[in-house]
Amino acid sequence: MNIWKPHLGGRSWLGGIAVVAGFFLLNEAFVHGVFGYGLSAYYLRVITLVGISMVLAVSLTLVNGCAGQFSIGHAGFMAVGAYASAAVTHFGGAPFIALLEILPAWPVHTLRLWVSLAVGAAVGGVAGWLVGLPTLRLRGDYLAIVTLGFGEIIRVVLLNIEPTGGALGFTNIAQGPEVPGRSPDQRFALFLEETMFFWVALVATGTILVVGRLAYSSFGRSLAAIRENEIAAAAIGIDTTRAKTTAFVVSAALTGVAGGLYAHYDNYLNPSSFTFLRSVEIVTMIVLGGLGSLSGAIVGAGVLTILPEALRDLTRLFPPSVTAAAPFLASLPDYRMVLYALLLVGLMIARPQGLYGRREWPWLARLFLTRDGEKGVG
Amino acid sequence: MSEAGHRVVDAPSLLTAENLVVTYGAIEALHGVSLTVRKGEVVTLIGANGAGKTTTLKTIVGLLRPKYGRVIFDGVDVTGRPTHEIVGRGVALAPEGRGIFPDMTVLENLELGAYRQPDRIQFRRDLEQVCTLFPRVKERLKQRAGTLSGGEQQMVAIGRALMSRPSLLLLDEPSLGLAPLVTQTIFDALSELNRAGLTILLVEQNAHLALARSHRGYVLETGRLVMSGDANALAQDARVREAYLGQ
Repeated sequence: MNIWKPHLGGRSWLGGIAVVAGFFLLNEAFVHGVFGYGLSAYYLRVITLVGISMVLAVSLTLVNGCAGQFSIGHAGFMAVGAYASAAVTHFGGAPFIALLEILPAWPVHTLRLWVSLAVGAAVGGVAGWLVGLPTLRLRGDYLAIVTLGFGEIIRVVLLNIEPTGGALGFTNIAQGPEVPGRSPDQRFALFLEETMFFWVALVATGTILVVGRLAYSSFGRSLAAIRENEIAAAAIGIDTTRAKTTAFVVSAALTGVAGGLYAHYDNYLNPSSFTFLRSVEIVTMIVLGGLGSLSGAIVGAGVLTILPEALRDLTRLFPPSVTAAAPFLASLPDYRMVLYALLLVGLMIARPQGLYGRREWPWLARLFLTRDGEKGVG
Repeated sequence: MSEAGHRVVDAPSLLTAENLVVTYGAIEALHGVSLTVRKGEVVTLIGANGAGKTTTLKTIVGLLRPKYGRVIFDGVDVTGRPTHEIVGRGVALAPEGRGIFPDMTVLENLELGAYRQPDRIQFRRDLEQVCTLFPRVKERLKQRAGTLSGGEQQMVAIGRALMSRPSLLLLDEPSLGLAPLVTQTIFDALSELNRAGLTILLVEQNAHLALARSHRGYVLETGRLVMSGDANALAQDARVREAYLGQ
């Protein structure tokens, strides 16, 4: 299993460069506008959050979709990754600020972000390993119980850690700790503000590629076997504990990266962002999209992030004369979460297998298949 | 009368279970089961529901850990080793209720049977052999395994087990829920595999058929072995006939 080996022919690196350049140009267009037409900060925010949601949903797919395990505590891994990477940025800024004196700004800022994200991934992965190793040895619903507990424990612990703000939240992450008598260094914060869409898009694409390559490898097959019949999977020689743990650790690490992106995007963290509801939201994304389908996870992340926002704008659907005649229409946005819930219920009744079931967009699946067109075996 | 024919009394033992005690929580399911399977043999474990037949198989293949006792396969003590390691040593299990992967195609099921087989050429050869053994499987390679009939699913389960090139095949009730004719087909295939050199340990409720196709048998009753011996002799035994053959 070599998930890094590109199977898109010899020119896959060209495609890679094109994608990176595309994201860069999009970022420039979104942030600075083109010919005077820009994207409002609000829409840019929604789009960026969609990207972070995609990272969350796609990485959860590896555990809940591919391996058929049930984690309902991924907000916990997101929180761990978010706080760890935010702490590195916040408290470990000094060497990078020193580097700014001798190097151009953007490589230093880029390096700083990636170091922080890498720490978020590592801490998320280690947390996943610690949670997964004892529970994934067992079959059944233990993982759900333990991850649920883990998520809550992490949140309560974060509420009580003073250096990262506790219940007040972790503020001015990119500026670093306040030093009396000196104004905070805003350079990294400004860099993040102007480039986060680019980084989120890049990480989301990378996550989709990594999870897709894993899902379509022999490793992914062994996860599918575990999902369909764990005893039979063991009986054909799959080390089920190891496969499940690997999937779980990879998923937790990627979720940690998503947390890191979230921390750097908002420049602020609060433990209340990582409640059980957050975990459920991620699960809902992949169930709505179709458990086990990456395309579904991508669409689910988009729908569930955009829908609550789109419902805010409901009154715009009606001209003023109509809202004047029927005032309750004007208050529709107040009921947006009710509508949101009803839409979800309706969708699950109409398509219980999710929007995509287990299917993928053919162009996406093609990225993951091995060169001879077979899903890797053995 | 055993159709498998030749006697293998003198062959060295391939699998030895010594005094296995297995518990589910506080309940003891096996109270000290010892059995031996020699190279080239077909051995049947018969017994009523709840006698501990499946538990014995699961313990041998490492899905359950015995409280006491040892499992020795091919001269190596594999007691308490993880299942994938025991399978890697050459034991294959076709689990109870067939245990196929229903949402995958038949071919994918067989491919997964070769999970530990890195050699693609060998894989093709093994696939060819399974297809020859079960022509029905060959017809349905592209079909979703869950849509197959019970007999076909059993064939897939056995075929998948064979794909790992085992030296010992464990079968948990291959006749379960199958029509008599299909059961015959499956047992014919098992006899053929045995003639080709495969050692088989079989768990069955269909004692009549199983004993007819085996060299030796063990009778398990509520977690204890109560009888053992030559399959013919067991099939003639008055107590066995009464309890398991309905005669």
